[in-house]
Amino acid sequence: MMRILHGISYVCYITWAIITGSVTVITRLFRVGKPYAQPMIVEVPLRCATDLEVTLFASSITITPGTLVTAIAAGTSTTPPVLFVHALFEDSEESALEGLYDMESRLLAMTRGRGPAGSARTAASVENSVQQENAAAAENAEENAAENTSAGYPVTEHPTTREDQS
Amino acid sequence: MNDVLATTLVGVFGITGSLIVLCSALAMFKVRDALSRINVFSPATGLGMPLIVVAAYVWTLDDRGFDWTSLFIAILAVLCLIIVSSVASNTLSRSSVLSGQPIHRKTAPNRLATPPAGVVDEDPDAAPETGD
Repeated sequence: MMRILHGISYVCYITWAIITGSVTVITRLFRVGKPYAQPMIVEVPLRCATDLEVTLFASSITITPGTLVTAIAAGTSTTPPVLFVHALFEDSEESALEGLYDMESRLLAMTRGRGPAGSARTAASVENSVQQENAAAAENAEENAAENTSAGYPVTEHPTTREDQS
Repeated sequence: MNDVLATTLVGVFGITGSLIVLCSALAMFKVRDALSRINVFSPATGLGMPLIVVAAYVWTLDDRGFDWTSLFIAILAVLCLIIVSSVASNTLSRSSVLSGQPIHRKTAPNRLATPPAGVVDEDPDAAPETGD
């Protein structure tokens, strides 16, 4: 039941976004003395997980006048999928991302029945966490190697790799 | 339906839709690169053409009376316009980027070219540094 209500609200939201976006595209034609648009391509790490959610979100962005999906990067085990969105009429990268995250939250409320708990992870935070995990893994490997040598075991650099090659 | 009301509605929807398509075409001359041109064409397919379909439906309603088939065709036409135009714009923009079309030089920030602040972008294909 909540999904249907969120769905109706999402359709209304998209319709309103199409109307306001169209008005922006047209009224800017008659603005004299100022540049028509400030094009930018922003990177949006997604909270959408399933194919349906990503497809719906990309289509919703593109149908809204002023924003356009230019590229999609697939997610990995550590990083979320990323959309590259071309925005024409936003003042700054932050305001563009804010509008897109608002749309994504409404979309996820429709597909999941409730909104997402936290905000999206930025590319920088994902990169930092991956680097921290790598550093921790390297420290663990060094500690294990030290324990093995102190216990008198022979230390091989990449035992698994050698087994794979043989 | 009252003839005057029907004619007015057909005029309002039809002329508004046509003007939106015209303005989208004019906007395409104001921007400089392929991506922006695909972007500013959205009002024509997302709002202008559905309004023309609504005008045609109102005219049919006045001319022949209410009919479930024509209502179904009108709703289907509006949905198809919105869905197909969004998927087509996605495809056009991705093919435009992948085919190496130049992006306007004043596009800032361009995250396809530069990573966000705080991200170290290492080239995995770069040659390893040698001692000499």
